[in-house]
Amino acid sequence: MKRIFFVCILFSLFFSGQLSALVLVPGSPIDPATTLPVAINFFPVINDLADGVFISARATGAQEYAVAGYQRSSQKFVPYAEQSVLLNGETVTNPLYNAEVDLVAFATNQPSAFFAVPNKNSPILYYRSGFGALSNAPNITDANGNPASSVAAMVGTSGGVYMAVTPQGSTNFGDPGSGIILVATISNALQMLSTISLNASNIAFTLNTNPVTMMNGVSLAWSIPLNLVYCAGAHITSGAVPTDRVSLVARGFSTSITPILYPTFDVSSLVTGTNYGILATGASVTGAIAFEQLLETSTRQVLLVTCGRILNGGEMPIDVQNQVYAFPLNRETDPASGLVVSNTSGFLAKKGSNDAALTASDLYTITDAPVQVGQGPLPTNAILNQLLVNGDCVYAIVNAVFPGVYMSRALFDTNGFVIGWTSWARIINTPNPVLAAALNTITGTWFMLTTTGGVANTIMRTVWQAGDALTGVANSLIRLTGPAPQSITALNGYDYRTPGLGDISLLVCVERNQVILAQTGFTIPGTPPFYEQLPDFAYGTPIVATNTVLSTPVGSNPLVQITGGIFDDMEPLTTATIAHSDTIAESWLVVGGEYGAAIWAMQNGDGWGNAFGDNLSALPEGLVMQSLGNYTDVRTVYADAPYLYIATSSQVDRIDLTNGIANAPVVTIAKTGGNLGTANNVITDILFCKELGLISTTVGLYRIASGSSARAADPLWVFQKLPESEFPIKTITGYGLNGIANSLDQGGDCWILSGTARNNRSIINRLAISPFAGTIADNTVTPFACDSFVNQKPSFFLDFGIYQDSVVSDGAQYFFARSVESLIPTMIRTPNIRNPLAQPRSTNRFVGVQSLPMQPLLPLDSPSDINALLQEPATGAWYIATSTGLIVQG
Amino acid sequence: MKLLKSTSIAVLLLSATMPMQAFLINLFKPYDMMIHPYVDYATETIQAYATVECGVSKAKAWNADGEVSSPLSIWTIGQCPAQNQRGLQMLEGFGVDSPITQLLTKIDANNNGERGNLNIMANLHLDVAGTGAFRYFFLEQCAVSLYLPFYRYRLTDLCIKDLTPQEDPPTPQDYRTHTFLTDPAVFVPTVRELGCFEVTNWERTGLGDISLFFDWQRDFPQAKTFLKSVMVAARIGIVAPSGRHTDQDLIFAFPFGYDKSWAIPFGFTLETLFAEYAYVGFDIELTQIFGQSGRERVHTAHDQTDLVLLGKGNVYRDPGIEQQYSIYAGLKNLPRGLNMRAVYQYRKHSTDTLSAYDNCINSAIANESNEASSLLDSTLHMAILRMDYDFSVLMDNPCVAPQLELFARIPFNGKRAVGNTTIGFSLILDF
Repeated sequence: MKRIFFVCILFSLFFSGQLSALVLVPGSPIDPATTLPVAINFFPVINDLADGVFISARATGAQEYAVAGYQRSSQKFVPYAEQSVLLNGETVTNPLYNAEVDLVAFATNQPSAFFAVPNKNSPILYYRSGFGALSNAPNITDANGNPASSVAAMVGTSGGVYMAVTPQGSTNFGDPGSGIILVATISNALQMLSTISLNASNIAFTLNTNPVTMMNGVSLAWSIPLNLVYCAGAHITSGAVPTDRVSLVARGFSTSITPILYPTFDVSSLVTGTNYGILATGASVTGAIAFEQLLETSTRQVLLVTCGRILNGGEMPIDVQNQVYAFPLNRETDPASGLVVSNTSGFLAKKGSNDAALTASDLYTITDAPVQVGQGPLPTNAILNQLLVNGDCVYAIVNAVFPGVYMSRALFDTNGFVIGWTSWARIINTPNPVLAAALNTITGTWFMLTTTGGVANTIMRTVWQAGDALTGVANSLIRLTGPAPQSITALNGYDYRTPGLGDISLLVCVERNQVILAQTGFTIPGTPPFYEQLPDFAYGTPIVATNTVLSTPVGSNPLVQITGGIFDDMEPLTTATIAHSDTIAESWLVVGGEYGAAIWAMQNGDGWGNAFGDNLSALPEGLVMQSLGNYTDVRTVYADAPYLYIATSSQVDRIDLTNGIANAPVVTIAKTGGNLGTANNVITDILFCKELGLISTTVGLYRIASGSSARAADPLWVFQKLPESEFPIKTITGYGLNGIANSLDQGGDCWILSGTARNNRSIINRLAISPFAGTIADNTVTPFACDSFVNQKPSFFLDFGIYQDSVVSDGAQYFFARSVESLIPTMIRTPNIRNPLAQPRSTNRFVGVQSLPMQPLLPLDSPSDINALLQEPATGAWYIATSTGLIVQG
Repeated sequence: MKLLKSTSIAVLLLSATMPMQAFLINLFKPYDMMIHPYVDYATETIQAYATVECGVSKAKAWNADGEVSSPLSIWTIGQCPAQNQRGLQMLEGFGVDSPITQLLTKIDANNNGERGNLNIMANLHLDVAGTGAFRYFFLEQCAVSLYLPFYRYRLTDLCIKDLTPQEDPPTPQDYRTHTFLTDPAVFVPTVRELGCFEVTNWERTGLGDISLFFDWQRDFPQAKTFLKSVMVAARIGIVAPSGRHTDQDLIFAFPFGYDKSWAIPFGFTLETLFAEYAYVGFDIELTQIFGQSGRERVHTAHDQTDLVLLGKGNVYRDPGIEQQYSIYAGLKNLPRGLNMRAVYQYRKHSTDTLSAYDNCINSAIANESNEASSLLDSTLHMAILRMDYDFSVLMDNPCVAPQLELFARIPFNGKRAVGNTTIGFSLILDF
């Protein structure tokens, strides 16, 4: 069966609308079918100051589009290499016009200004100011003062650009005379401020031992919060003596006089044979770093993210080019001003601390979870084309084996230090080549460099689509739930991480009187599992379970529509989930509504078995919705195998499905007027993971008491204080190490959304979940200490500044919305929290977006309700279920 | 008999008044110059009279757009059927542990323009209103007058229509809104329990505000062929808050007066007599109403409607000035002793402002002036027809000169206003 789907995928390459959510970004009018008539160099703008991406021509022929930037207002690339330009005060023919431009970098505080090097092997640096005037630098020299032979790498800073240059007569960075030069813009003129010798003998790489061997170039990265530049060697080998050492990364200070420094620790304590990622000691130890990036997390921890590392014995550089690591750096702040002190910051940090590592035992090794982005390598041979960071996320752009964009998200402890990363998820899944990508979180737009006719000359971007423009599964859901308004009342996405799903990814779409199961993809070999989307043409006529009875084989049909029967008595339906029992290897669909709850099972109580294969064919004929208990006003059904939790507005029941649904023990574990405050208190959401339980109510959050367990006969609940919170609480969202809440027992984070329309305010509090087993301790659930306005005073994470009643985030993108309220239109918004110009009311610019501009992403005039915000787990597509249908991106 | 009894009481008390709320209702205004009995300042010493009027039909009302509406919909803007109560917004703005907030959370729905809205309708009837008045004349140009009015109103036929969409099947939000709030069978007991507010028919009877006036009036005879005289009059009074005030816990239970406020009305009249029989004139009356502090129903959140508010707070209400402009024409002594008059009268009550002195109230929200707010100005246009006859013309040197006056007041337009068409009479004794 899996083969059939692979065939489908092949068809989709040529015939389907799989890429319908991607549109061409126009550029040069020479060839409207492509962005540029020649191959493209792609330069993401990593902060959200600009609109996302710059491109340059990799060959002559692009005319004024030799350098171009995406303009959000016109949704196209605008040219920045006009034929005539003011160069150093004189009007001349633009040297960038129609040229090949190898390198482009950006000043981090000027959205439309950039630096460009047309030919990196004959380096001339040009600077185009925001007003369009061009200036060029004096001769680019190497560390010896001679004309540099080439530019190996270039990165923009707040007021200039760092360039890694090779010495005269050599194109190999590391040879004597190599260096880093800083060129700054002073009154729109370029001035070379410093040249720093950084060759293979530099202490930054040798750690005070014999010279290393460097080849294949370097990469540069700039840290905005630390004000430091980092230089990583693509291929470095230590000296031949067993006591020789090597560092793959050097750290630079941004003044004209301070030399390049290096990550510091007690170098003598490095242990031979131990792989610290970017440091090692031993004879001829080799390391390879293909890309590096610097990431500031939402907790203000600064991470050095690398693709590659020190090689273990027998490894080749290509073996680590599917591996990404994140090494924490220390961040020293001046106690008086609170500002970062650059000359004591940016060293490798001690584990779980903001202090610099002093001995080797302070350092992480490559097997430690906090440094393993994605919990391990990407699929074998999935060599990264590009490494991207944004928010708390690391993105790997891959164009081999399974092309696409892969994402991993950092999870934190209560102090804001990374404790681990979610496993890689393939969030952009396309049959077309993905050579590079960029993300603009303000608009939620992905840009991708792909090919047309074998030439990398086309930029595609994701778009939000709705109505007739929707394709594939989204179109099917619209078709099956329309045309009645406000059809979809809940929309959930599941994948392999949910017990019972097996090899498929699935959307469970709840409408007022029906439920639709829609398969979105199937796993492909790999660890962890990645998905291929079903092609559009796979979505045809659904299998209909009339009166909720499945009476025909499902086969490979990805759509199952369950209607009638008991649903007519339960309507309107409000919630659904997938329940599972490992003991009897059975899985069920559970649905809740205003007038009851029901489970889809055979007459003997069986579900569809342990898990699905690569389609829904495991659904057995004879499944029928059967009443569960006697409930009204069911708000949430929640599965934490083998338990099923049913929450009404006033109580939470736990049903033990270990031995199936027949005579399953039902226990009321929480009740308003009992162990959850007064009888008027209202339950709004629940979350359970093994012994942990969280219940949100009008007046606050309750958690399982220390020493108790959600699975105990009579669980004890205590009030969980949320610092500086707003009430009532709307939702609880858990992010465990696998990305969803059912792995919170291994540690993770919880986001609590609360707010009131009266105060026109909604905020998110973050809770750190420490690993637990068997029982809950005092420190299992703790608010983030790093979320604060005042030092040492815990507070919330985000204040939207306005009332919003739903939010979804992947750690980098935040979409929040409010259903229409009288004259306030429905709006999807994104907080511009990473705008470096944003200065909220505290020293922590990630806390509180109240003063920041809200970016209306989608002014939705017609729908009155936002019923679900969802990132479909298998494909990374964003779904917004509104009262008039679906809006989808991805 | 009841009418006579009320009239007697009024006459005995020799009193007078005039009404006001945040909205205008054409409450009988005893010192209204347009229905004042005719009097000759030069010859009269004492005048006592009683006036009684009755509504001839249910009250008319005009909403914020000036369109005809139900009396309970005067604060809405033109919609049909008018949603005059936003149920969900009504629940907003209370403490997190308040049962009201708990209910709102339980409903977990937004107002999408229809959901949670109600149309509450009722008829307002004026059964009877009137005044007893006593006037003392001196110096041939001056008078002091005392008025004490009374009123009896009824609100009947109250019905509640849930405007929340009732699709089949309903959306969860609509279902919960209807089930827990807007179902009429649920709404009435819910607001009673949560806000101690009664949404029900009522009958209210009571006195109005007593008022004391100083009047000055003088005729200036004109030795001209057509223009025979010019009458100039001025008055100033004080209105004491003796009337039945707003019942904060009963729907639309407006006050029979200025609602616990003192007020100073003052006015000016100019009337010209032509050819002995015909006259025209105009009258201007402005009333400065003094602010007063008290515990009132207030907005607790944005976009709330004013009909049913669950929150109360301590506020200082600064009423807007009240203006009344009348122009009239009539015939005098044609035939002798018979007078007739037709009046166009325009009333306006300017915007009130609220200032909270309660930490539990957001003053900005309580004072919110959206288009449909009860705090905003209201206007009323009215026609008055009157006819009176002086029976003393039939008598020789009577010690008491009796008069009978018949009048009708016909409101015909307005904004955020309610008006009853009434007919009434006055029995006047001049000494």
